Amino acid sequence: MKLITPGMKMADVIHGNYLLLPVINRFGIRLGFGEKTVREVCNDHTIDVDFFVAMLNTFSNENYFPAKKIQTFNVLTIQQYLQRTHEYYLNTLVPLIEQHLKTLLARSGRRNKSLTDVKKFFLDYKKELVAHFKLEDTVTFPYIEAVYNAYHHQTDKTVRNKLSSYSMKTYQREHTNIDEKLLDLKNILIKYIHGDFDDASCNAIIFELFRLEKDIQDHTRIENNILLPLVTEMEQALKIKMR
Amino acid sequence: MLSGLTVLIVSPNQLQAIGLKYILDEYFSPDLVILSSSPELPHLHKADIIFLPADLYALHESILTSFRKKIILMLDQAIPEPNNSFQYSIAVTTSESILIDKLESIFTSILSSHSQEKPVELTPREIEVLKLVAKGLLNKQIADKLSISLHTVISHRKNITRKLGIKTVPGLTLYALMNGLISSNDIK
Repeated sequence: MKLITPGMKMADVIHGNYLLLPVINRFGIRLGFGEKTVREVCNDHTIDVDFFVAMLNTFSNENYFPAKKIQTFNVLTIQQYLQRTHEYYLNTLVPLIEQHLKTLLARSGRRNKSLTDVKKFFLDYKKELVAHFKLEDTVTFPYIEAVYNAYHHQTDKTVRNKLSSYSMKTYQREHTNIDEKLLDLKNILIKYIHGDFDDASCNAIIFELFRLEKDIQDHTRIENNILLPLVTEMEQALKIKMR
Repeated sequence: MLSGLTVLIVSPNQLQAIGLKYILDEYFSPDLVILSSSPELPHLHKADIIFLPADLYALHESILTSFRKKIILMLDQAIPEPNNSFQYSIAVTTSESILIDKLESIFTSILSSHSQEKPVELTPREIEVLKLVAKGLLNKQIADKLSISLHTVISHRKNITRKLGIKTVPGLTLYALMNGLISSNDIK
């Protein structure tokens, strides 16, 4: 995949890789770019163009992950992006897969009980996803904001408590692999589905599972290789400061 | 074509190594490509196929000779077959499409000498273990129930996962349900 640069036309970026559409949506950018370049579109939305381009490029290219460069961006910007991807999974992608599952069940023979089992498997997985993201949204991210504020502004007393009750080490320990079940489901559908089932809706489900998997991998890579080291560094600096 | 295999590219020429890795990933999808600037024993042992420039081979012949069967030599120019004593070689001057054809025939020949163990059907014993896993039993409970050691249960589970490509317990349960190995009443 070609490297995306700020001078490229936004429309050409999408022509080059349409899978980036949901990624740019996360930044609040929507279709109808006209002749605008990536830089112009970012200026319109007051988005840091360098961060935007870095996210697009790492998403497009599995082997391109300039960790050092991404670590120069603001932690809160990175965190906000991750939070937006959570919203995308839960509000768009997961409901879409559920919708396809519904169609699959409606269009396939009633006798094929295994499809009900597939649906149940996905709904259980959804619960796990919701819990995983909720933990990050309600515990990890607020913690990161507190650490960030204390590091850059005033060290208030509450930070001391926060630092002792939670840390990036805890996060690392609790941060489970959320793509394993996804891989299993994909594989089960591809290899072992049988009986009476609707091709189109089954294909649609597999497409979306591939997309979700890829997106989650990109997301996890940013969390583990960017967010985690950056916040750990601030934690350590704060601990020294508060001694 | 190379799924499940590890390829090692030994070359101080990074651009050459990256170029070759690109071609391998794009057309032959090996599991892993290791790039290294010099021949190191752990890598040499781990790799199923090794690419190496001819001058480097000459330099380290004493170490490399035992890996001869899996080495593909990278030559500066094509040498006519009779003069080329090495079993597998490619010339760095070859164009991309010719190189791909050449690599395909080399890999076919290397793979045929490889005793390829294909993942096969589950054995009756593995099916028994799978049923119990799907019903929600823990490894220890399975071991007791089948009167086998914990170690044996674990090795059965590894084989089941490898053969089916399913890692998680809910995934195995779904597989067992779909194939009528258990019924939904069996799940606690």
